[in-house]
Amino acid sequence: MALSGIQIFKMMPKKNCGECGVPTCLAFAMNLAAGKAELDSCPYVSDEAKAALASASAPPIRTVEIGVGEKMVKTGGETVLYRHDKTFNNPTALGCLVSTSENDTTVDSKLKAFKELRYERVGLTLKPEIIAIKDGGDAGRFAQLAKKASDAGAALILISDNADTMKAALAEVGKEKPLIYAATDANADAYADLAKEFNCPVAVKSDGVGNMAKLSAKLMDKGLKDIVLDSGNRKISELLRDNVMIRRLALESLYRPLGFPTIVFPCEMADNPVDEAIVAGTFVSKYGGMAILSDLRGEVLFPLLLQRLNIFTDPQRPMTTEQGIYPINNPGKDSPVLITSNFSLTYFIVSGEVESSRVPSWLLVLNTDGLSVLTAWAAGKFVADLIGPFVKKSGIEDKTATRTIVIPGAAAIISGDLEEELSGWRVAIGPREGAHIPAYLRQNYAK
Amino acid sequence: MAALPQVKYTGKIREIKFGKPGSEVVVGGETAYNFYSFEGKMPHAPVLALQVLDIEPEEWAAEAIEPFKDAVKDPVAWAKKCAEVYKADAVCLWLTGTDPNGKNLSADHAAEVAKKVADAINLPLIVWGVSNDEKNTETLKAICEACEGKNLVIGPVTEHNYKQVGAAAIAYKHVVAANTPIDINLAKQLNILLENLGVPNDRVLIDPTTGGVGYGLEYCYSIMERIRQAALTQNDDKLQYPIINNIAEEVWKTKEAKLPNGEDPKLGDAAVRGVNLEVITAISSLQAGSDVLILRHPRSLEHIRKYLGEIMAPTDLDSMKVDLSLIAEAAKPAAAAPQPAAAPKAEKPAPKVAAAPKPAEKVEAPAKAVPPKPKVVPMKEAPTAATEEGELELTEEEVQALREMVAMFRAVKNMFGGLAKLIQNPPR
Repeated sequence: MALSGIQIFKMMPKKNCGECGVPTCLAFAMNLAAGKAELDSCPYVSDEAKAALASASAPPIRTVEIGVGEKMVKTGGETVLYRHDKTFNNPTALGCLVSTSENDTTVDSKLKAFKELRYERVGLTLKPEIIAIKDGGDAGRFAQLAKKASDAGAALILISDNADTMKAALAEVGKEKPLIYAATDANADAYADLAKEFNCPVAVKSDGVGNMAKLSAKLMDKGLKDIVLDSGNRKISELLRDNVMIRRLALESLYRPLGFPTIVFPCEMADNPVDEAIVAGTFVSKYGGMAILSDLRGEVLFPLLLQRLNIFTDPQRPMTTEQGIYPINNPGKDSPVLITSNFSLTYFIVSGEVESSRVPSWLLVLNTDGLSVLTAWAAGKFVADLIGPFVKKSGIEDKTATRTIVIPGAAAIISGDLEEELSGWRVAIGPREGAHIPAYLRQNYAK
Repeated sequence: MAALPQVKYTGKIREIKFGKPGSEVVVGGETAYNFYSFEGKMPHAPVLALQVLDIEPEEWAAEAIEPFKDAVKDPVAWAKKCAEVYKADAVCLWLTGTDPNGKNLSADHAAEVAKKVADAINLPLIVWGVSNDEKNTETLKAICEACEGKNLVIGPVTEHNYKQVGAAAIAYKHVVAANTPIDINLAKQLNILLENLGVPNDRVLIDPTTGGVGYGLEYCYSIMERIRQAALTQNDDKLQYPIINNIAEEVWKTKEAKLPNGEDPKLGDAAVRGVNLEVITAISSLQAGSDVLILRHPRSLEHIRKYLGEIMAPTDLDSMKVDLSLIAEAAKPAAAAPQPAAAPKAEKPAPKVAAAPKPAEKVEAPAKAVPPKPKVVPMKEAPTAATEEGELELTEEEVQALREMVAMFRAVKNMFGGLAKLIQNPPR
């Protein structure tokens, strides 16, 4: 991270013993710099070098894991300020607040929503990850709800100022690795001990970034490694500044006490679901590690999950849709057949337009490695000798009697070759623009 | 003593004024990224426009019709309602009726409607065409003439019709929304073309092409971030224009926005879902650098306006009270290290932008078009590199890395050149 391979090499024993698994100390140093090796694999490195390297080679923002097994969610671990510089790594974990002062009906409906609100998209399942249990003064219920939420499949945040209440709940769900929220100036020692005893991540909360950093440094001195940051600000302009400066200080200044993910509470910053979603959305794009909503509703959660998917998509790897046959509007034996590339954006636009045309259709999606139609054509991935065999093998000939295939207008040039390749089929040239698909289909295929 | 890490801004977004006399608004003027009040200025709140159609909407979500149900047959009544009841900052008249794939209404008809709407409201008017450059050329030209003096924003103006529409905008004094397909290089190129045509540089907005949430938002988001980076941190004056995003249609045409209640219970209440898709797309665009948003639902406008009021509240850095002595001792010797690591990062958009104007050179502006290339350039003529390396105190590895960067840069440049050609002369 901070040190180059050469800088690390200077601190190496230079024995070239090979016991670390690579032949030379230089190679090992290069691997360390690239994050491909662990310092522990060198048996001869000096203690001073170890101390210097451990601190310098640690990632600038730590990845904190909350929950265990399938419930586990990772947050933090970011390495850039702008997604186009590389990619954002761990999507802002989204969750919902459940308070002990809420009645069973409310709690159950939230947990039910948590379990049900899952969406399949581009081969991924979009879903919330977290339930935050808030102590409203009933220690027994606090532990009980934590257990219930964990059973529902959620990673947990335990919110209480009372060390005894926290301890009782940790005795119940501590092995589920909940996030302890939060160590403050008043209880830092007690909460640090709890975090150590139960081996759980802990949040720090203070009034402002400066004091929060001091608190975080204090917990680090006590040997805690998994920390989550809350600057305590609930004004959106200030919280935006805090998140930006925390990210910059961590990445650019290697400010270790701030090298952790942040948590934001839209549930405390708005009085209606739309404004709450707006707050959450702001910190999905601007560096929030976790965002806690007051409730889980499809109409609020779904747009946020989409935004999160978009912002955290790796810009270097296009999203793809699986190759295959996609029936749209319940097509039958005489429905038209269209073909497009498997770049997910192309697929979404084309399938959306076909759907809005209301013309029952078969959409074939060819694997073009995530390239759009024109680019795929230019790269030789949307060409007749690939489309031909794909259409024949896809099984579309059993599903429809239609023997006309509509190709995208942008790939009109392949129509001649494709007719040769696809015996028994006629090739029709569709519109260049997705927006013109409904008119095209209605004109040619509507009954 | 270390200082708080701040972005070194070297540029400023131009201030663009539009709207008929008495109703003008100003957008732009930023000296920092949107809402970063702790290190720069955002003198004008982004303008929130509501969309009006020239024909009665077809296949709109019931939720989107509801607020205008007594006005959707009459663009003038509709526009007035946007102004008087829903307090929009501006109105966007979308000429969807002119679409050759639809009703194919004439340019004269469009001009007549635009004129009536512009006369009826005391708000700035944005006039938006359809996804057909040829038809837009005809309609937008007619509108420029009919609405002389109204200081409209007209769009989308593309590389295929910028000459005709741009000339009309110059003659009748309107602002153009320069549309390019999610590509910083093409955006820059079109701005250069417009400048060369003689469009004054206080009469251009960038329309980078908007993607709705779940439908390509991320591409739009990153291109906008890169446009702002180039404009503000590299002082690239060809990109220092405010950005306009046509959110309305991109969001509301998606199936998730249109789906009525009950069809998919997991998608929740349709009455809020569409608005939420719209506001989430809107705030993402705002974060990335937007200055003008075209919205459809009055409730979206209301929520975004409230949001702007809160997020534009001034902030400062001192009140954070960050103790810089907590920067780890071990990190300090390494403080030099982020320098080399950070430098190429900051300059990364530059080589790409430099690669961009390749096609632009054809339009007689090579000198203007090619920004001064960063210091990689001397490294390209490598024979004497050894002496230079010595002077620069570069290690063998660093020189090798720079060579690789140059090679990469060339490869990227060639690729973009090729792509640009491909886009200009698409296979038929």
